Amino acid sequence: MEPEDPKKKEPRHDPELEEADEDELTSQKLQDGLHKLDELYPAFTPSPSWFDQQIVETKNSQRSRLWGDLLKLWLAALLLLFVLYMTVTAQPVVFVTFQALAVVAPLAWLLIRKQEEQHHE
Amino acid sequence: MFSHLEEHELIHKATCGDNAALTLLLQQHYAFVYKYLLKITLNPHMAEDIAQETMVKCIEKIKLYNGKSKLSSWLITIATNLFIDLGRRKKREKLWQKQEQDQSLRRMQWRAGQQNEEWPEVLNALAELPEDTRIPVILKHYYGYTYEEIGSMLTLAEGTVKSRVHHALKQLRKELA
Repeated sequence: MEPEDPKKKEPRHDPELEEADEDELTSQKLQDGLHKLDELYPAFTPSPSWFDQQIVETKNSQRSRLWGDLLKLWLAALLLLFVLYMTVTAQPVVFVTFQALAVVAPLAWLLIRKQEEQHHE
Repeated sequence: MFSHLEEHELIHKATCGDNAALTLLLQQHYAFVYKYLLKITLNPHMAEDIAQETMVKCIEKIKLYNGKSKLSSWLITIATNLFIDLGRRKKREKLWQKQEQDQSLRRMQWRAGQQNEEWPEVLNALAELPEDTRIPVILKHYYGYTYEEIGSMLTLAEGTVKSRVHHALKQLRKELA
């Protein structure tokens, strides 16, 4: 087979094709550069004992964080129960008012919102 | 490297609390994570710090891993988020951060020279890209992830990823010209 005469080859003027070619070339350069970076800076994986230690430490700190959060939750719940108990025994009227408000307030808020939405429509 | 089945078995054991299986998994993926971070940070020290932090995050969250994506992709997502968070924390020190990156690049070039190795110009051009375009272009053109996969890794729409990769390539071409 005879080699192609480069002079005979017609130049490509399709800008989209040219851009695609250039993108491919840039992508190739990027890949080569990043391969080179891998060669220059190889990864040094820590020893298995380092990973073991990290696992033990992380799990311990996770456990203590969980207990801390649970403790806070229990304390908050106890405090709330205490306040409710005190209100029921000392001032039942205040307690009933709060209970009624807890039911009425969200309903009122929902109704107002609905009315506002209708007004905007 | 583990086969797909072996890795699946190890992941199952690790999620059930087997520390030895988790150690094996982390050890197997450490180099991959470090190399990825080296490419997006262009800073070996930072890459090592974030790689270790990624390992700790993986230990904390392994029970939440649902196996929808490959473990390596999941680790890349964690590592990327840690890198982006670090950038946000250092936002006030933006100038200092840029100086640090320039210094790191100079050190790396110097070290390449010491080893009689040629420093690829494309890495300097890559360092000029902002991280929101640098990361997608590396994931697409080096790791070969699809736009959809990159989108789910970076919580971005597929179209946004496409446009960022396109802009990054354009910018790289401009820098290399």
